[in-house]
Amino acid sequence: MKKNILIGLAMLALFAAGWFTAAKVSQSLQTPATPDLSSSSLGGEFSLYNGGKTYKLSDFSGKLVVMYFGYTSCPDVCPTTLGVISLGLKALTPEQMAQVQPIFISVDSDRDSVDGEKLMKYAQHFNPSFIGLSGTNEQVSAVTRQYGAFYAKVKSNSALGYLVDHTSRTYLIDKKGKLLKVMPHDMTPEQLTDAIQAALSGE
Amino acid sequence: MKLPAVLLWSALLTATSLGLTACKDEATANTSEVPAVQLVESDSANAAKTPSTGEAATAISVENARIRVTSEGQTVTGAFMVLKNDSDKPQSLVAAESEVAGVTELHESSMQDGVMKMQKIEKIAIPAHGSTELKPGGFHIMLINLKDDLAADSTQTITLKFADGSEKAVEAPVMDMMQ
Repeated sequence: MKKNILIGLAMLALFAAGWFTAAKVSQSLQTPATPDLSSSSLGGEFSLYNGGKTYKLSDFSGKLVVMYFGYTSCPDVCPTTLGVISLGLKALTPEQMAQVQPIFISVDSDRDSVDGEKLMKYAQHFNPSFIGLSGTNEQVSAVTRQYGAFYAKVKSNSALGYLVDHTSRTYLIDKKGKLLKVMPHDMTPEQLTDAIQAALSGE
Repeated sequence: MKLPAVLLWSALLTATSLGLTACKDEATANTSEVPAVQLVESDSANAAKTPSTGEAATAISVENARIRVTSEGQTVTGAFMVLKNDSDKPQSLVAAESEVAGVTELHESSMQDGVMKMQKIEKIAIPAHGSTELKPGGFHIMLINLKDDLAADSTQTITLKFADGSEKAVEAPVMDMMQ
């Protein structure tokens, strides 16, 4: 009996180790290559809205923009990354935070452009400074193209109707509106804090 | 005729008990009748338990169950936990239910070519003597059409339904999960 337990434990450990390694490997293999920004034309001005109000990137000129694409019916990946952003922002000093504008862009224009208040509340759940934006299908597809983000509405048999596949990167845009850095989906809060502080001090 | 059978049994039991105690580092009295009796008891307890391992609800234990807190007005959220299978056969979770949600589904998120995909799945397998983790970015239970905002520090009940028809109620605290 004891032997069985030992064998069971060993198998469990092996399974766990194997799983962990596999997860690590697949993660590193699948992490999208960070776009090369040196020669790229990625980034740029955009125009989106929340409720009836239009927002442009240039409205936030003078602030370091931390931007993430997702959607509010996304219960898993978006809140996970937004949670990382939340912690990364929390580690900033109030002086640093005053120079940062976090923006959440919903790629689910059909559902999220209608209820601006819900979108704003969703974003501000992660940091009170967040602004939640969406737009028409054309506006959303334009801004995602500009930033090399990808999203696709996928039919599903879920009660949610359709799901949205999307990239889960975080964009840092400098105070002049130039795309500075693209952080991978598996970034840590510390990496984000460091990147923001480096950007703020490197001016 | 009966006597030799009894003798044979006790001999067998003593042998087994000796074999077992030999595994122990701390050599307890291995000659007395007591361990043999204990062995009989534990074995019969085990025997009584073995058929019930066929029931997933008994075989599966749940650890670290939690529900992600919702923002105001948000109507979907995810529930996560570790499912451990103590039985000799693979089990599967095929559905879940909760009073707080109009619909509850099993979902899987996965990263494919840099794109995060989420899909509804029919079951989550838990290998024999293994475990399966429901975690952000992987398997999760989706609570859809929430009837109310889920406040942090509240606890909600989720009923897990397994392939064999057995069910298990799990108490899951609602938390921030930003770490």
